[in-house]
Amino acid sequence: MGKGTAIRWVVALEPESIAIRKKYQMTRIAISGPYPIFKDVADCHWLTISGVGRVHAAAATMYLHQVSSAPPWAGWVNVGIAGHGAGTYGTLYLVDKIMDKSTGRSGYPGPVLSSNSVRGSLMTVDKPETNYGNDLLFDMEGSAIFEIACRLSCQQLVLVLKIVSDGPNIDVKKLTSKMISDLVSNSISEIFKLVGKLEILTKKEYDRLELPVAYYAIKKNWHFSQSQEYRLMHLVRRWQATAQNKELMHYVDECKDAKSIIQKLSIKLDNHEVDWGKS
Amino acid sequence: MIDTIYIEKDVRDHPRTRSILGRFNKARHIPIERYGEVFNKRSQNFRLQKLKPALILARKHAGHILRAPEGFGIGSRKNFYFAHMFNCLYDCRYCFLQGMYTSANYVLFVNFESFVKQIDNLIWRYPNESLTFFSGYDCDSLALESITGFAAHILPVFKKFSSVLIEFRTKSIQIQPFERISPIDNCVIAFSLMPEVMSNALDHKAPPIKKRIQAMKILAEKGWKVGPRFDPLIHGKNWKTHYQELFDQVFTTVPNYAIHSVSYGPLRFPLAMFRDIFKLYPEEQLFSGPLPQRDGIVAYKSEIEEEMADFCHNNFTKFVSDTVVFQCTPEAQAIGRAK
Ligand code: SF4
Repeated sequence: MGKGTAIRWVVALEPESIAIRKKYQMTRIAISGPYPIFKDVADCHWLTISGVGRVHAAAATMYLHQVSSAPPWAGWVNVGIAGHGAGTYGTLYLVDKIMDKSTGRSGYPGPVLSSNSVRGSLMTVDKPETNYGNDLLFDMEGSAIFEIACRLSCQQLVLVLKIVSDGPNIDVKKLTSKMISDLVSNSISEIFKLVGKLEILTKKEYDRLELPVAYYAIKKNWHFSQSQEYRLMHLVRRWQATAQNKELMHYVDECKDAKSIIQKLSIKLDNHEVDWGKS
Repeated sequence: MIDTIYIEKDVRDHPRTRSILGRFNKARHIPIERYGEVFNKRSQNFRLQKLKPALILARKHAGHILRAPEGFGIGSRKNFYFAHMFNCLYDCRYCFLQGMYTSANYVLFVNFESFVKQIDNLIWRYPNESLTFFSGYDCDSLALESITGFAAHILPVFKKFSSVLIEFRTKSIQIQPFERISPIDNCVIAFSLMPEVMSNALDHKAPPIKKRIQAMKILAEKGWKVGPRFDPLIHGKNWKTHYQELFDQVFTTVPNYAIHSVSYGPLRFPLAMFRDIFKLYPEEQLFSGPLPQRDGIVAYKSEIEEEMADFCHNNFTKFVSDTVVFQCTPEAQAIGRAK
């Protein structure tokens, strides 16, 4: 896993988390809080178990965001079981439309990942649904997790994955913990593949959003006001884009204050001519 | 290439929708009420979405044809523009679309007949005026022609009104709709061009400059009017040499008699739009150079702009008459878009 990999998992039920925690070798972190939190050794994958329903799902997503200091480039994954009127038991669906029954709102997890997974629409409901429509998945958390995760990151970095667990011929009340954990476990390699692709996207976003080391180094050595920080950030990015061989730190080494750094960099960059022949 | 198609319920049964869906029978079809539900929502990431845009089939209800800003034109008194699509197959780093929309999905308005009706109305409303219509304002007018068939649909309309000009602005070499029919005198196929070294770095996914020039030549030889467009002008080391080479190549390849007009314009962004684009592509070389802000517009320094404009104008007039050379004015650039 490279620098920038940041995945945050939200599941509703403990058995849904077992195969995921095992796959990424996550352990529970020792803090007391409203929802249990697990993470891997590298701090790249974090997971929480929200419990049933939209309110818990939204709160747990926010909680995980805070506890794990999720960066804006984090990918968010919701894995869970769902009912379906016609789907085969155990089929994993990549959700690309989510309808919230109580608010009437729809959301569209944008499928920028290439995958052969079966795709489907999800209806999030407040009470268990046994009146299965023909072509819809039903759950009780998806819309809330999607809505919050989109605000914390972006739509293209949110994955909602549902596994068919019940339907007209499979009674939801007969589902056991073992059956639920097996459902996720049987799909774990497909989930792993999809999340691997999501990791690539998070890495791309990390490269775009993370500020260069030189920016932090300069800020550490000189004092910048807030507006100066903003200008510095812009200039450092431009400096990087010029692909100059010069070390930025060396270049500003002798500046006496923030103002002179900004001035020196501005003059240099405002006279920079792009060499298109080299790009 | 397109594996997701969102379809407004209102156009689900439109014949054009059916025919497009028939071409993507493996794509997943997702019904929606209005395209705004999917397009331009907050929390979208244009750059990531550009990796795999979806297609949205929608109906355009209003604003089919809009008045072009002052200073935007190639000689007519009244200029209009329209876009049957939002967004583009290509990914030019200076493109306004990436700062204008939060979504990179393609929106295609399938009710072409409404565009035709509005064009007809305008032509009848201004019977004695010279009018120009520009196609491809919020998209490239030909890049997705093989799917949309828009140019093929709209061309016959202009055949009926020979005093009205239509310009298709493009970087595409999909010129089949023009090859299939005999040339229409009041149609200009305008190709956006810049020196190859710059295009290689900036015009992602677009056909190479050489091929665009070749497409212009083919069309010219078939009797179509073409229009080289050098807009935006890009600055950099040895820009004069690069542009000189490009001009020589264009004007020695494309027969002079077929050149309807030549236009050029500076690289300019409204400040807010520039900030959004810079955030999306902070590593882009184009934004590393001297692009100061003046009165809410981000552009090269005026000395650079003027020097480039003079250089272009002086060169163009060596090849074509001064009367067919047009400069996109700053006002038009601020509202209009680099294409
Ligand atoms: S500048 Fe034109 S060709 Fe390039 S991406 Fe934008 S609309 Fe497409």
